[in-house]
Amino acid sequence: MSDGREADLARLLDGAGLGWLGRSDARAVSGLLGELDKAGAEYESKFGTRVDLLAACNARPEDTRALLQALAASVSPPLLAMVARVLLRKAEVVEVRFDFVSQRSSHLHVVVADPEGGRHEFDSDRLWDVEVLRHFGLMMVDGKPAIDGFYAARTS
Amino acid sequence: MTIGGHDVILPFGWEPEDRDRILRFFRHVWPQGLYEDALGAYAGSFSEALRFAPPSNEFFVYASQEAWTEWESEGASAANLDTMVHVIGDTTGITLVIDSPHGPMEGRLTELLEFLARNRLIVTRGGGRAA
Repeated sequence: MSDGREADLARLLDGAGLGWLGRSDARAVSGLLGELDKAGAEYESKFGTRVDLLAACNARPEDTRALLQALAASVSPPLLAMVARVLLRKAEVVEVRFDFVSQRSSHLHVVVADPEGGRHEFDSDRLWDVEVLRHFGLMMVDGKPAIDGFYAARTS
Repeated sequence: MTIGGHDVILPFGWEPEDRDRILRFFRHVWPQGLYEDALGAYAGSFSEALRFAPPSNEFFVYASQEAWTEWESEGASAANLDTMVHVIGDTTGITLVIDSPHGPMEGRLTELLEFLARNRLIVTRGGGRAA
């Protein structure tokens, strides 16, 4: 069962331009699968909805490549749950704050809003979680800033 | 039904995520807007379409339900000016068919172009190029 899920994840990682991860370290896929499952548990805890993120990635590989890239970049499970909300429920990012002082502290605060209402806050002191900022869909609309979407980096 | 209008061609080959990008952009422009695929097989709000509409590289975005009704019954008219965009994507570019490249759509097209362009610039560390 686990081998099958690892094989699924390895294939999906390859599709997200990250196949080299599994080839360079045989344990990497197993570790990433554990983190993805933790993110699913975070999602359920935060939103009250059970979700198998690996199954979600299998069902919508084009839509979820960015989630796998964030996973591979060591984004923590709570922030991966935020990413999943943006990708799967099409939530919008309505607030971002990043406070950083060299050699001292890093804090990221993100608020997302579901299309049908409901705001959800995420906080992290892990510097690696700042990776999510690279993938946000940044746009100006009628001269005002908006952040909507979470997009995969190109791999070629 | 007459559509007419002007073609604005964005110089980007269509990517599967482009519909997501375009609908997320237009849900800020027209919060009450409506998506309809080119075959008329699916229609719904932008947020619903983002979740449930089958993939498509040709579709319409309308400013509102009323705009959709007006276009369906009258085609292009003075009453529904600048309330619909026809999007067609292929490997050579993304064509936006609009009433006029001037007026209220001018700035929005520039912003959409920026959004689509900037989100094509990031590459992965494993992709062999620096971000």
